[in-house]
Amino acid sequence: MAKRRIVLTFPSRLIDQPITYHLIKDYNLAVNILRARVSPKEEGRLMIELSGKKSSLDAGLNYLKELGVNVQPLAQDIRWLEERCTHCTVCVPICPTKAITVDRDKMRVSFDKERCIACELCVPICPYKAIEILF
Amino acid sequence: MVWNGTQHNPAVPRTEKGIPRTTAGTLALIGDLKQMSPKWLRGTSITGYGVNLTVGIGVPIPILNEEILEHAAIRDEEIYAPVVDYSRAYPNGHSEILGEVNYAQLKSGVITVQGKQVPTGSLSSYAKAREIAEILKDWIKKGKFFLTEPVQPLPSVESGITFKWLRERPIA
Repeated sequence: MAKRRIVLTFPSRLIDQPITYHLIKDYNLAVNILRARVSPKEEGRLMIELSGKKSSLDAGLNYLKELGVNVQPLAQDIRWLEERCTHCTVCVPICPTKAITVDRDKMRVSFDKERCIACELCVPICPYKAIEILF
Repeated sequence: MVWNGTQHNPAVPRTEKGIPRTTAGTLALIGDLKQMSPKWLRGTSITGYGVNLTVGIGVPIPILNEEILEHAAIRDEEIYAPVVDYSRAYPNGHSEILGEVNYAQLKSGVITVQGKQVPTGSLSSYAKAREIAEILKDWIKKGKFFLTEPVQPLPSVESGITFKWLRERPIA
C-alpha cells in the first residue's frame, strides 16, 4: 500500500469532470478529500490523500497528468517556518492529527508534514505566524 | 531592570513557601533596541487579544544566602496557576476560577478540569528560556557580565499595592 498527499489544480475546462470518480473506479484508489475549492476564476483546487497499490497510484497520477491536471505534493503548500517559531507550544493542543508535537523533555516543537491535513487551525493562533498554508 | 512593571501585583494569595498562586511580579526594563535581536524580541499577534511585544530576557539571581537559594530552587510542582474560563467568566469580569493546576501538570500536556481531560499548550517558551539561561551562564563564567547595586527594592507583599478591576460603566 502506497499513500500520497497531493494538491491538484484543475484548469477551468476540467472543473465539471468527475475526475475523482475515475481515480476510484478505474484505478482502484482510495480517495480522501481533505479540502476542495473552485476559485472565482473557475480554477479548481483539490487537496487529497490517495492510497492504493504502488502501480495503481502511479497509473492514477499519470492519468491526472495526461488530463492536464497539475499535481504537486501537499508538503509544498504547508510550511513551518522554524526560524519564526519560538517553541511556545500554543499550537500543540489544537492540532487534530498530532502533526505538531512537542518533545516534553526539551520542550521543543516539531512538525510532521505527513500527518498534516491542512485544516489551518494552527494558523490564526500562532502569535509568530510560523505556519503558512497556501491553498 | 528599572522599576516594577505596570501589572506588578505582589499582594496576591501565596503558597506556604511564598510562591504566588496567580500572576504577581512584573518588571519594567530598559534597553537599546538597536542592539537587540528578533530572536528574543518579537512583535506578535494574539487572536482575540491584540498585538503584543514578546520579550525574552535572562535575569541572574545572585545566591547570597540560604533564603535566596530556597526561593530560587522552586520545582514545577510548586508553581500553581489558576484555570480561567476565557469564554464566560473573564470577559464578564468575574474572578471565579475552575481550579488550580501546577506547572508539572501543565507541562505534561494534559490537565484535568472538573473531571475532564484538557490538552494544554504554553505561550511562553521553555526552549528559549533555557537557551537564554545558558547564554547568561556562559557570560557570567567568562566574566563578561556584572551585577550593579540595586537603587531600590521592588515593591513586595508589604507594599500594599493592589489591583482595581476595570469596570465598564454603561452609558446612561
